[in-house]
Amino acid sequence: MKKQNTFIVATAVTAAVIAAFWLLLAAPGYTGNEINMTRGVTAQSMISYKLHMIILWICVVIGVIVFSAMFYSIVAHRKSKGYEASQFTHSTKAEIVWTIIPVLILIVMAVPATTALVHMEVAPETEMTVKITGFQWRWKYQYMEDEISFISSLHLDSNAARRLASGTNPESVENYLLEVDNPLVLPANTKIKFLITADDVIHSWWVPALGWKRDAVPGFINEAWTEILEPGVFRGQCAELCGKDHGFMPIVLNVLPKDEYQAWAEQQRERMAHQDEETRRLWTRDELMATGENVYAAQCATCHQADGQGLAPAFPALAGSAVTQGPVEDHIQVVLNGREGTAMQAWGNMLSDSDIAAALTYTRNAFGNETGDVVQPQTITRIKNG
Amino acid sequence: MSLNSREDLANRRSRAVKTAWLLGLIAAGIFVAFVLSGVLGH
Amino acid sequence: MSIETTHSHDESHDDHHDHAPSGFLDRWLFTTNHKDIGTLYLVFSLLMFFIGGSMAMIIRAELFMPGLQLVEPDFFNQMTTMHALIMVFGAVMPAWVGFANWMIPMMIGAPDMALPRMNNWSFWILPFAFTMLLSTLFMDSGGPAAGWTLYPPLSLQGGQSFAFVVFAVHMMGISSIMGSINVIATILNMRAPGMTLLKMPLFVWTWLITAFLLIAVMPVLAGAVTMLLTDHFFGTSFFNAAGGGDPVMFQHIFWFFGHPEVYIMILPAFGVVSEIIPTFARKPLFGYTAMVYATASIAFLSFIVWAHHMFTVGMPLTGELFFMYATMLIAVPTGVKVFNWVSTMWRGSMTFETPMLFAIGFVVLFTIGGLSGLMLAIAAVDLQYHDTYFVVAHFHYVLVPGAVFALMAGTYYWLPKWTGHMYSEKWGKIHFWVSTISVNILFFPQHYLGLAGMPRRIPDYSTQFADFNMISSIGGFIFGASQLIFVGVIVHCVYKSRKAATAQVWEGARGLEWTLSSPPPYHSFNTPPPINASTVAHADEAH
Ligand code: HEM
Ligand SMILES: [Cu+2]
Ligand SMILES: [Cu+2]
Repeated sequence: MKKQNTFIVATAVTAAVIAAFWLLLAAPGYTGNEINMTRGVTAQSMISYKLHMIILWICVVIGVIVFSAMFYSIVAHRKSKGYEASQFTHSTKAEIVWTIIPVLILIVMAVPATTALVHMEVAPETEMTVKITGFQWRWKYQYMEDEISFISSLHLDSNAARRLASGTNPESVENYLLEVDNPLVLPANTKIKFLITADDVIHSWWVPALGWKRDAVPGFINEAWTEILEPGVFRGQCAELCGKDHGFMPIVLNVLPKDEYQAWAEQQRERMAHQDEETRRLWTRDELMATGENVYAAQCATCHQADGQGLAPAFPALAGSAVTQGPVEDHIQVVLNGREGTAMQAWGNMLSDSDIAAALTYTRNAFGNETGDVVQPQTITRIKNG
Repeated sequence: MSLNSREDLANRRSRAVKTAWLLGLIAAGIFVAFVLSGVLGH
Repeated sequence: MSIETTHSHDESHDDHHDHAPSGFLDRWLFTTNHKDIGTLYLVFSLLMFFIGGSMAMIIRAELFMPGLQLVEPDFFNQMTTMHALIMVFGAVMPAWVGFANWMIPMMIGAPDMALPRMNNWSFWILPFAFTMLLSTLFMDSGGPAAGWTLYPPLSLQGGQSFAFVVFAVHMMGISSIMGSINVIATILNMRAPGMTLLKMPLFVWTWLITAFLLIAVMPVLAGAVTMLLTDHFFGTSFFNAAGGGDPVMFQHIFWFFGHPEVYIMILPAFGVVSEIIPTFARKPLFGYTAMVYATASIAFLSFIVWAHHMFTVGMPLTGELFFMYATMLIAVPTGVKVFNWVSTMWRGSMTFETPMLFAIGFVVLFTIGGLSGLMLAIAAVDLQYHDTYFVVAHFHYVLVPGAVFALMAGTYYWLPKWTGHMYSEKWGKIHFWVSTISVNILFFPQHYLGLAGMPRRIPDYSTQFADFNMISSIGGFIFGASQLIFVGVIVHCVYKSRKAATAQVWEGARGLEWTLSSPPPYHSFNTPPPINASTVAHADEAH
């Protein structure tokens, strides 16, 4: 008798603790971490949210009914209460009922689930197209109509703070791990098509506020679309494991009103034109070293490390290496085309020719490497064009 | 049925061995089929 | 004539002794006895639980707060990958084979498994497979770090050690296939006369179906990893887009194996729970036949839902709809099972010994995992849930308080039968309560994390996820530590307990295994037992 009471008490206490925990989180005063899916800023994300809530509540109701029946039975049908076991073994009627009812519930769920999916997947006529390419471990954005393109990597502050035992408190870094150097800028209230692919391994492009994620698969192009209903900054992350820095390739959207977006795009077109000029002119060694140092810190140091010592065995040292001290031509080939089967990617289609030239010059003359070589952007352009 | 006889046990064991070979062949067949479909689908 | 006197000379003598061989090597290394092999499997899997569990502790410790404090990201990825591979292939699956070895011959009235020497093989492959797998952690190129799903092209970036991973998977597969062949051959050929298929205990039924699943899908996994191997080392490009291959094809093949695989881990759990609840409710299992059919339909459906793991890869709309509907359908037979367990308890005369506590914990918490599974089936919303902690919460609910609780329930249930001693009921109950509370602290907040946008498989996270990660880690440490109680209870029961168990052990227990002494004789049923209403665990005949 006593033992059984202990059981009831223990169950009740557990249930009470869990219920209290839940209520605390649901209480309007709770200001801690978010616990539910975002409503987002697109029709898709709002549909997703609504559907999520409907199914969640259906599940809660099913759970409550089943568990109540069970706990009633646990309390009432106990040997310690002298309850005699009845010996029924089945009831065809009951079994038919609890096969049919779930089927009906599922049909009720399937209707909104189908219309939602159709809405999310079937793209309307779109007004602009952005190509998204996933790299280990950054994103490249190309505005197809505008010849604008750039790379978006983890912000340097986060990148420094996230090192093992960096000594920096993540709380002190603004938008820790969710900030990039160059956000993807998009116009609000515009139907936008995304072409999503990857260069090395599979990534997945996900901004929760848009309501979906889509895998970026090398060799294949996936399509997705969005229409963002309000300006603002929205953050997301790569959602498919893509190697050691998978947790460190965030996505930031900066959504502008249409006119502001136009102004931004104009500025970018100018920047791209300027970049072309930069590629054609001759650079001084100092210019190359200075730019190279920045490029190295932003792009190369993740793997080869700030001091050029690499991370054995996967990421070779550049300090004193045969490549950085060997023939320039070979070095350029490695950087332009990457090394297949490793995380060393083909930088040729990621960085501008002047950035590549600067990084090459820098690595050939830093970390104790003393080749004295200067690599000009023009050389890169010439080699690229065969 | 002389279920406890020597023959019966021997029979059951030899039937079990046949079952085992059959299942083993099925498993091997599935493996080969999948790899082949990979090779041919290429 | 009794069977002891019927040695036929073409058979090895060693599976006919009445007593265990005395030498250590003879007893354990060369054993062909189903009980000893069962014990080996169970001990092996317990060891793997602790190895895989320590990796989980490393993961939860790194995730305790934002920032990297303990390990490099690449090592973190090796931990998540290894944790899953070890728990799935080293802990849960071998544990179920251990239960099959111990219980199936006793439950169907056979002297031993049908193929005792193959039985020895299928076990002894495993220690080598896992030594090989674990040794990669100490190699230059490190352990596998692409997730247990081994998706290319990422998995192909691994170094030379990848070959060891592939061979280890091959060996585990061969071991599982041989184990399953043995189970099927035993169930189909070695039942005592009168033990018709529809009189078999549910645990035997669920294992029979599981074994067919294993034989169907382990070769598929073997094929997939073989193609990875040739892509990595021999220049083929099955999955390499640059060479004309298709990385998404790997995902289709993997999940064609992978989804049935998750049912391989849970069907025997359904079986164990269906044995335990009637015993402690002192009432026959409700809807035995329906349970058998539900299990079979779950197994069938498990072959046509695989792409619900791939809603974001970019499938045609019709494909997504098909896999969504098929996945939702699985909820029907799963529901039937849950309803039948509750009906079995309904108007029973229940007591709550440790096995029953774990079985009830299973029903409640597994159902929570099943309901979140139903949410994940909704493709439109899965575009949000996919690859977040919401998925992590889902599969841990079905696997930990699901499959693992069922393993614990079964252990407490049959431990007195196996050892001949009673375990400590008090410590068993403490183990249950600490585990149940901590497992919820560990996994429930992960639903919130996933919904709020935290991706899975990341070593560090932004500060908005800090609170629930800390709570989850605390739950994880308590859960991990409380498993030491489990080991304590088992060790005490085997070596120290002086309370002898009766043959029947539990007042309400029914079925052939309870007609044998505790511990049972070395060869279970040398003479086929009579099969009648008093020795059949549950059959749906009494209309
Ligand atoms: C009603 C039953 C169930 C349904 C409808 C269901 C549905 C799903 C869906 C749709 C996913 C993919 C989610 C995603 O990645 O976005 C998933 C993942 C998973 N489920 Fe279930 N599930 C059910 C039961 C189970 C059971 C019984 C198990 C195992 C015992 C299980 C184990 C898993 C695992 C391991 C994964 C994640 C695999 C991975 O990505 O690593 N599920 N489930
Ligand atoms: Cu990633
Ligand atoms: Cu699945």
